Amino acid sequence: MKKKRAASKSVKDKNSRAIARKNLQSNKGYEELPIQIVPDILYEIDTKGKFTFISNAIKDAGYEPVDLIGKHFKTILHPDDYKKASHAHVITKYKGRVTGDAGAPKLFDERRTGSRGTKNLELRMAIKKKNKDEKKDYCYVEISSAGKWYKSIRDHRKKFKGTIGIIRDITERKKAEKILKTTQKKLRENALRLQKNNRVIHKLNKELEKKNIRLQELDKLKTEFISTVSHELRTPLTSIREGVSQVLEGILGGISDKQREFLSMSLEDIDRLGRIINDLLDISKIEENKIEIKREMVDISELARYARSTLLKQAEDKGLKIKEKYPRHKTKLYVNKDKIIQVFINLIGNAIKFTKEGHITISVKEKKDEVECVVADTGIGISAKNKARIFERFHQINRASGPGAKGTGLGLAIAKGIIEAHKGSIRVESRTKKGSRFIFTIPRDTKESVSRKFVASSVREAIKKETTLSVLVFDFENLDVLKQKIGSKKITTLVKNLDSLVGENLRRGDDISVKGARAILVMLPATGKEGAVMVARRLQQVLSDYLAQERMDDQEIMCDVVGLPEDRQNAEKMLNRIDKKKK
Amino acid sequence: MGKRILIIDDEPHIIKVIKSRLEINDYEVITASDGEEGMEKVKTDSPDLIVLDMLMPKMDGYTFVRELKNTGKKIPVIVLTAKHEVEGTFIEGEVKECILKPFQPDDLLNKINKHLKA
Repeated sequence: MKKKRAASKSVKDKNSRAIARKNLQSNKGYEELPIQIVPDILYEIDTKGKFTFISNAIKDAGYEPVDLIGKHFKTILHPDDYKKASHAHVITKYKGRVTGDAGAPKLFDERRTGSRGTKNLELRMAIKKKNKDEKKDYCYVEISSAGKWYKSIRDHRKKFKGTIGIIRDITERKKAEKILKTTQKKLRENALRLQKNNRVIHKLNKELEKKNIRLQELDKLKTEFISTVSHELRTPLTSIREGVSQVLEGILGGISDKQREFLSMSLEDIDRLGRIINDLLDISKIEENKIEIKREMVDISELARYARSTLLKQAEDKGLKIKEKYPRHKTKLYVNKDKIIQVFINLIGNAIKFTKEGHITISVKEKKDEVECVVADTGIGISAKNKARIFERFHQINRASGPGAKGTGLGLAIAKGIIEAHKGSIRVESRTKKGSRFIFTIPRDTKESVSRKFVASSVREAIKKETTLSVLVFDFENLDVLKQKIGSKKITTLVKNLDSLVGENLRRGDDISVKGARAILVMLPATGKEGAVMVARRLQQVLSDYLAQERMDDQEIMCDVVGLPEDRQNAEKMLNRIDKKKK
Repeated sequence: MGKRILIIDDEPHIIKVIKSRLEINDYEVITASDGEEGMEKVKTDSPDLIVLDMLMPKMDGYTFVRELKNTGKKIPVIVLTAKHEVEGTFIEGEVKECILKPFQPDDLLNKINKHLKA
């Protein structure tokens, strides 16, 4: 009975497949079903997993629907994915009874319906190559399917009839996913690399910070060291000098000519040692950019004349003339007077030292934006090789023998430092045995413009960097009344005198006073407001004393104090104020 | 005997040579090796002028100048220092001059003379 039923079922199945194939081959109606135009592949398989229908969309994969009817579903699967499509594999994803042969690919044996069907199972579908050149023999698809059931008329039980499903090509999505994956991978790698780089940078930064701190410490140590060493050298040098000096003078008893000769030699070298210490300190100050900005308006020719006068005797002793060429009128420059004299002295001193006969010429020439000063000689000259190194420290060439103070090897280095601190430049032209010309230029800048620029930039920098800096402004209480009383010309003179007084009473090299037409501005770098108030009081006293002396004690000097960083709002106002007063 | 000068310095050699120099020039010299001792000598010996070092143990030159100002005594002070940065800048209280060591004897003598006359 059982056998008979099975046989009849098999016959029935065979019949239905044949009908289906026949239908597909001949029946135009099937071709025209709406599902044929859906881009996804629709299919129907029987209980054995064999196609009873597959829509035309399968043609894209190189199959003819007619050829697939009666073939097992795995025909269109990539062999490596049979397992994935197997009944057991698919079913385990869901809860419920597992039926059928666990090993066989039976995605298609869906004894379930509705939500219990297979949904979006990703598989590779085998592609029938149209030609050999096609690289890929599969594409990615996504299959959703569910079982078909019917109610038996005989026993009214639900019976499994086959599976119906849909295959969707997801090649594009897979490509996108692949790109996404590679991109993600690259991003991850990049992120890792960045992280690594960041760590390296962080480490380097830390090292730099450490080194920077160390450098600052070293710099401070260097300054302290030079200062201490010079102090420690000067103390014993003082008693040596004074001792030798007193013996040499015969104060402590008579000495022989030979003793006198040797002692005076010693004294000369003691003084030389003193000069070296001074020069070393100067050099270290120049290197720290701490060269005092105690600038004033002076006639540069006057400075050259003064330097010449101090060395004239030395030159004449050697039979040398020092000629001068200055402009007829005054050539006013805003410079540190003492330092520029030092430059002239260093250059003239060298010229005397290296010239046996002939003359030395000092000249000052006005150019459009700068003033050019030249110290020329008819001496031994400098070879091209030495010319390059002549402004270096301790670079002495052809040490002069004979009488006169010996050099320290720092003179030109100091001259260069001083000129550069004035934003100028220095150079040498020379021919061996013909002589040398040392030329330095200093930019022309009126005191007002230099100072205003300097003060404004310092104030702005202090605000930016939040460093300490104070500015004082002195002016008269009732300027207009005073103007009527003594006239504006006298006010100008008065302010000028008061400005000189302020300048004389500023103690530190970095402090600077700027004279306006009717007011004086004083800048105190690295001074807090408290300190600035003290300086203001002291200066106010000095100015009042002066006014009293001039019988103008009824005039009161006002003083405003701005301390940075706390008074930053007032700073701009104050700068504007001094600017306006100048007009 | 001439005017009385007080030398305050912690270096015995320096005291010795300055003392010698001043005595040859007919000054009476008294000495102290730090600011504290210097203040004592100011009170007991009333010098006419003081030659002062800056860096000393116990009481340094700066403190000495302040202390001297507090006593109200008008004794001219000539600072004689090996500190480069003090040169010419430390003019406070009774300090009239700032000379850098090593000094030129004529310079020192001229300045002493000038302030003793004033």
